[in-house]
Amino acid sequence: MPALLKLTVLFIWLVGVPVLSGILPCLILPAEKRTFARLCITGFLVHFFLFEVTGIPVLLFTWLGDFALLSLVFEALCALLLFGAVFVMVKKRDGFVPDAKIWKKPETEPTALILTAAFAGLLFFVLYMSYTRASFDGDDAYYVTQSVLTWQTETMYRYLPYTGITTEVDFRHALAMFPMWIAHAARASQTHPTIVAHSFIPLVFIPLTLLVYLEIARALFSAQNRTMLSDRRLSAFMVIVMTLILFGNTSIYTPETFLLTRTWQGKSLLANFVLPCGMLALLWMAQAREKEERRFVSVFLFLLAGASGLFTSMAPALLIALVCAGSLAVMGVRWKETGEKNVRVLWEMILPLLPAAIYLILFFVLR
Amino acid sequence: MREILSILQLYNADRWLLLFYAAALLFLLWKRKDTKSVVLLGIFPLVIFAFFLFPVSFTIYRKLDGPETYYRLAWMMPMTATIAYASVLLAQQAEKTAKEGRGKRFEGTETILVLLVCVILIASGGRYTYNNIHITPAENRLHLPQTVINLCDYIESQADGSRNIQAAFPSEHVHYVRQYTTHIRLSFGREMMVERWGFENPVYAEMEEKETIDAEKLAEALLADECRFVVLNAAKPIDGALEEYGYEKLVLLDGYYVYKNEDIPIA
Repeated sequence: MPALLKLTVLFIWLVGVPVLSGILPCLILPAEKRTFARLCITGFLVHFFLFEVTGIPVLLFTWLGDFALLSLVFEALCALLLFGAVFVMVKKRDGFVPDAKIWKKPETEPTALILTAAFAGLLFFVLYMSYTRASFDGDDAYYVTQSVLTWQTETMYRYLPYTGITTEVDFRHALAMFPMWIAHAARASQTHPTIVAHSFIPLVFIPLTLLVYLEIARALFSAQNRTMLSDRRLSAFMVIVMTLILFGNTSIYTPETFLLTRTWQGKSLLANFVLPCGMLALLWMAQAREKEERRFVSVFLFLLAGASGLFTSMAPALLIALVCAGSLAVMGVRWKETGEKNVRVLWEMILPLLPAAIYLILFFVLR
Repeated sequence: MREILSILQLYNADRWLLLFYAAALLFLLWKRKDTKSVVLLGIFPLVIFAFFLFPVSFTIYRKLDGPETYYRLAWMMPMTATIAYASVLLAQQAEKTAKEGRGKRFEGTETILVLLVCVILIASGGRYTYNNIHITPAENRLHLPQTVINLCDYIESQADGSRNIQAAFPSEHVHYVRQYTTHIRLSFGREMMVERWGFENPVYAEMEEKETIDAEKLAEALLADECRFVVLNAAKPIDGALEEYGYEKLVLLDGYYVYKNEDIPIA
């Protein structure tokens, strides 16, 4: 496959398909609340959720973990999802983005412009360094090698990554199928998985993390329809976030260290995507006043719970802990701000975590 | 409790970011901008922190997953968002205070100045990621040492198309070989690099645990492992010659000798 075509196919599977997968869940929201950030974040959650629910049955019930079958079924489901989104949009005559928004000149404010430029400069620098610097981590000998093994053998978790000896499935790690997701993108684009992991994954997942923080900023400042160009609070927030990311390597344990040096490992996505999304859901629910917003948060949590297991078995556990405890805090906030004195919000936040609970049960049964 | 505090100390190292977080959290609680931020960024993380420090939590966690990953519970506290939010509130406060005396000054001056101070503080109190010794210029798009790729390509070219090649590589390469190709199986891998895992391996013992390699003993270990190829660092002293024990020296490549034993069948 020519290099440009490989790059295009890789872009489709790393960015295009995940982002477009967010259309269906975002249709729950009124058009003016559908931000690009929400589309991307929700889309990636749908995409990962789909991969996990396809991958686990294939891993458990096929001979040697039939990766070709997983790829086929996953791609078919992605296509179905995208057609479904188009079908619903046509049926509801919903163009997704309000017409007024497409043609409107973006609002700007001088200080916000300066700060956005500073943020963009920092982001460009980080992405450039991610692409041009190699980061050594011993765990890559496990996780990246799993992707290469699957890519070369079309099996899943049947060989020890360190030496190549055949083995029984190690369920402590196998249910977290993120290396298989990387292998799928590599297979589809005929690109070496280690290139996908080390060179391209950071270019996708660092901006994805930043989109979550942008939505957190919007929630904190109640600036849902504002952009970084027009609201200096948002751009200032993001400049500080970028600075913390750049200077957060105080130890090997911080989320920032994982984000810049181990972006392609599931643990990094736990720290920099799953848990921030959990916090985002708490903030959204604390301020949701319309029933569509509440429904969207419940759907968001359901997708997050289902997707979290893709990254590490610890993700569903920490997510459940964070949201269960956090929902009590949210209930307190809503009680204070709206006078709402019922526990409905607890069920709206806790019940959607069911996929995470099922994952954990499966994990402990199989371990 | 001592173990928990030492985990916290390791997390923070000797920098100040946890201190900034504590200051930001206290600032939010003092400012009380709105209930949402006070509760979700202020009180709730304090509850998480109390849970983190609680010895019973540590005991339960240790039984489930071991103490080495306990620090990940701290990830539930939204440190980045809290510090960023507090910084912006500080900037807004400065703007509000200076509004009356602003005159002809650019309207966003205070915001930019306060943010600059915050950035300088964070840069001084943190640690610049790209100074990390484990981050080096990438030699290729795989971000693997080019030497490893060259050695693997050479071995595969000598393996008569086999996709099941048993080889022994020096310890400085074992992390990388199978990130490039899993057609090469290793006599020992990363499991030997982590002492606390307690693995033993005769090939590793002969290749890596001695200052001078004993060619006869190494060959014995390699043969027992059915190792068709072996890569040795040319700078490492060797007593005897592997050639005497069936291993033909093929090439010196990027400072490494590659040997092959034709008598070991291809898998």
